[in-house]
Amino acid sequence: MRSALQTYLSQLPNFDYKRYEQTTKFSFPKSIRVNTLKVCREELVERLESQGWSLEHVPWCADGFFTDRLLMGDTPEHVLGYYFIQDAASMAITLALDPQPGDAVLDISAAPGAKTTHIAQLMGMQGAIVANDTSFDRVKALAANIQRCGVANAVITQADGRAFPRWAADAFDRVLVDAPCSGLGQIRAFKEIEAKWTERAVHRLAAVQKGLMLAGFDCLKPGGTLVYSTCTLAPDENEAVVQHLLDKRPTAKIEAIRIEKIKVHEGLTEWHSASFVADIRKCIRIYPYDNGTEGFFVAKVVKR
Amino acid sequence: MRRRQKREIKRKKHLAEQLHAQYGIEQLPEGAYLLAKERWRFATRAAAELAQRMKGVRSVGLALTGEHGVLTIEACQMLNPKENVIELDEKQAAQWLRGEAVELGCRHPSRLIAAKHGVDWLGGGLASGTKVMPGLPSWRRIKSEKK
Repeated sequence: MRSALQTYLSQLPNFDYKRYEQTTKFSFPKSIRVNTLKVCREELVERLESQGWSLEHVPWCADGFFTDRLLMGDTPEHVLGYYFIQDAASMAITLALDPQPGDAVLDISAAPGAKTTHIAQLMGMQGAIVANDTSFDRVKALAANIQRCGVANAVITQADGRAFPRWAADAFDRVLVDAPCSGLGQIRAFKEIEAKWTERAVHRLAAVQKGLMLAGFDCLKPGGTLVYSTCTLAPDENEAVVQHLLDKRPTAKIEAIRIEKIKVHEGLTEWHSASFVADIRKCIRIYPYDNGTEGFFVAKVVKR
Repeated sequence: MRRRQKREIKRKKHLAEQLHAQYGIEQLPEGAYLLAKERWRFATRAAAELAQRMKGVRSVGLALTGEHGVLTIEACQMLNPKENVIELDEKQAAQWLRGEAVELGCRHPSRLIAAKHGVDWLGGGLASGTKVMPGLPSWRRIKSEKK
């Protein structure tokens, strides 16, 4: 018998449910990102390969490598902050944000810090990042990773991201809203997610995501860029959230995302009874079976 | 504002003197040096300034010192200590990263030391007798025996 989740996913247009189902049964190679704030990429690659690691370049991220290694968190190089264990597709989200040296960046839902530390790396530690999360435990993990990666330009805050415009309206050049989600792209945890999944939970999460999206947008300076991402495939948590922003904030404009060498699908313009503006096609959907990674949705919005 | 700047300059001078006397560190990088609960932190100026505008701030920048003034791995990587540095061999480095005391074979003249293995800074520790205890927090230690 089909689960409610299977029924939901099979309704996604241009989505190969059979291939998706197959991917949940395989274990994909894991990946690392070299922390160039601490170590030179070539030197670390040479060092890990001399220890028997097999490393293969992530085509879309210069500092990313796929590996077949299992215990990656328990090595001296990891303890010393020379690399971060991060899904290869999630590296593309930071590349879409394209942070520049000197920017003020808000990562509104930052824990455990994979993208925050990648942002710091791309900024060459020039400018500043506010890395926020809500729960004490998640902030602890975030702080540990920021310390381990040697990021000196981050401010860690613990607050409800939706409250940020009260003290940080129009304050940031770039905002990343990597929102909490139902996680349907996390194929490694698929069984647990499938067991807990309900459509009601999706709608509850969508309400939080819409709040975070509006708050993140309100914290942008005019001309600033916001990237909204989730690791789920549910349109209610993705395209519908972007449409909500466009409805509520007339100065929001969707931009195309250009990341080379990664296979993506365009955003949906229809889902169940809802229809979205044509520009939402510029958003990207990354399906797990396309690149051998987790699945993601990414939207890029500028404030006019 | 001026009072805060004065206080910051005084603090930085004090830290620079301590680090010079203990580790032979000649110059501190440009940035903000913050003291909270007897522990030093370092942040870029931009981060320290942005933090003033934020609410719910939990920390700014990097921890330079931990318990008993022991240097963190990041402080060693950033400041490159010259004195009271101990060189560990591979076996000792592995013990260190597991958070175990390392036997030096003789007494070290200073209580506070910084440890290195090859090109890797392993952070600071506390010497006692012929042993030295790493200052690595538990979350940062290697759990397994083998690499």
